[in-house]
Amino acid sequence: MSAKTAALMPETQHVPSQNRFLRRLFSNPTTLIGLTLVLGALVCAIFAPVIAPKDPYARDLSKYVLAPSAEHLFGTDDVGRDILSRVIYGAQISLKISLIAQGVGILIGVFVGLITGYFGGWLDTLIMRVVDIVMAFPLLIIVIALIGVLGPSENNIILGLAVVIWPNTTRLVRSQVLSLKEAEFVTAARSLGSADAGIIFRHILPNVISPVVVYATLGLGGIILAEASLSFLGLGSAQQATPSWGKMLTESRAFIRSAWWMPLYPGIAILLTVLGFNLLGDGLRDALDVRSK
Amino acid sequence: MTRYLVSRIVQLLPTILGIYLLTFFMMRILPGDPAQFLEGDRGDEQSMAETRRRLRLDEPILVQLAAYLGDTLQGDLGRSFITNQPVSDMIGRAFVPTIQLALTATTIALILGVPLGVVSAVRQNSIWDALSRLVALVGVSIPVFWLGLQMQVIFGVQLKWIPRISGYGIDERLILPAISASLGMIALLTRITRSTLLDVLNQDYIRTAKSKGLANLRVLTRHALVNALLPIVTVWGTSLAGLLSGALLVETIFSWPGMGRLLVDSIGARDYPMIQGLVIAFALIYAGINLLIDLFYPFIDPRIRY
Repeated sequence: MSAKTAALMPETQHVPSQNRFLRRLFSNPTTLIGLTLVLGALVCAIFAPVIAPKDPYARDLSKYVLAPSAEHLFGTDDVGRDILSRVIYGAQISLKISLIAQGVGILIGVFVGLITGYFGGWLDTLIMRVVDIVMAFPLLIIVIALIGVLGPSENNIILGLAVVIWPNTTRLVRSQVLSLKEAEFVTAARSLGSADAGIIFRHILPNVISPVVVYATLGLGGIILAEASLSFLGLGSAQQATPSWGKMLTESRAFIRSAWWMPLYPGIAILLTVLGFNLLGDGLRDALDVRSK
Repeated sequence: MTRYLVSRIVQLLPTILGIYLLTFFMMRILPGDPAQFLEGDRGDEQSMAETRRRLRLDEPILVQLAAYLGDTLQGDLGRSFITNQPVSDMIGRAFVPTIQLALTATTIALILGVPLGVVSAVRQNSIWDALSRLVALVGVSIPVFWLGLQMQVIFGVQLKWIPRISGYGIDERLILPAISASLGMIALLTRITRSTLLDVLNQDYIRTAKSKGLANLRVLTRHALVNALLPIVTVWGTSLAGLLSGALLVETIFSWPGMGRLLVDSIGARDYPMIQGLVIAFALIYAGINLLIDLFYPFIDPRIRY
């Protein structure tokens, strides 16, 4: 690539320089709160065995439904397990499934969006019809129906969530590609003999990444909520004893009259994690948007 | 208008047909024999064959599809595996509680969300603005089923304000589910009202109205809010559509016998005709409400004509 064409092919378009982006990102206090919450959930998930004060699986019927105390800060459940430890371990399954599902859905969405947007034609028409069908439908219903039919397992939940994630991503990426493929730097690359694959992945892809990152971060909150809803409805992937926030809430339903602490803490964990991703996503969007202050 | 309506319905047909075919084939590729499922362990060869014939499972799949499509067009969605009642009757019965809950929740959201957004926009950067933004943020982050559980604990068990915290009835039992279902929508309505109104308040015609000496309230209601109505109605309508189909978590928590809970129960019981019928019903309701909102636009903004 000559120096002349290199000048026509900016690495990123409409995106502030990295330093300015980071300065903007970290100067916003709500973004910092979001980042702290997200990091907190990640630390819980990764270092659960180190942080958790008790064994989350250890049953002890002599500790049946104990209220919060110095020994059990969040109390115990109906088989005497420590709720604090189970909430900490619960971050593992929630984050693992949500991050993988979001990753798979976004990857498929970006790939399909790049191809359909760049080549157009009958494939584009066909795929956009499919996108319309999926999007003309309440998302949770699709996931629940799919998992209800396929059976609850980790892979099926990831598949079900990915099925509802990709169409939005495809639509977002496709609309960007439609305008980018007419840009001068793409024409320049084409006239220099670059192959389509090279143009798509070397020149167009870097320019669609930032809106996708914002979309993916903002969407993660919703995916975590969906995952928790599924395990709450008994369609989660967790094995009987594995701690999962949604399942802990289901189990606590029988005890709402006698043990307020059982439904309280898993819900707060979900709320804070989702809030964290929403605040971080908002912050990323503002920091990447050149029009905002 | 009629031409627009017809073209929209024609556009809708492939979507509905797509969902229909998808659910049909999804149910057919499942492992396991529905006849075996229906007959259970007690079924002998003869009764299994009889059930298979009754369900047309012994015919080629395209024949099955044609027969099923024919039945559907006549309003027959088959019978539930569990209750043996017609699926369409069961959906019809569950539709009433669902629409009662959805309408109550959307009304609450409208009464609280829009004024909160208005105050937030008019008193930008005030404590009210901060409060309404907090409500909007928490509203989209809170798990609705957890909110429901907490309200049962607080208002039912501890404060004892609401003696019956679950079950169906147009009485105190409707309060908690309606509030739980409305929070997400309050969040959305507050956000959209605030941002739209902020845009409108910066327009020239608002400055003109103010400089004519009109009272602030009059400027706000007659000039600003009327012009901010379009996105508000859109969000209200899509939320209503979402609630009609998506209130399944609230319905489950509060044992509210609506369509969402019927779906959850049908999935638990592997009642495939019921799941299939509900998915199609949800698609129709969702698409139908979105169409109604679009048809409503010209009444809000006379510049829109179909």
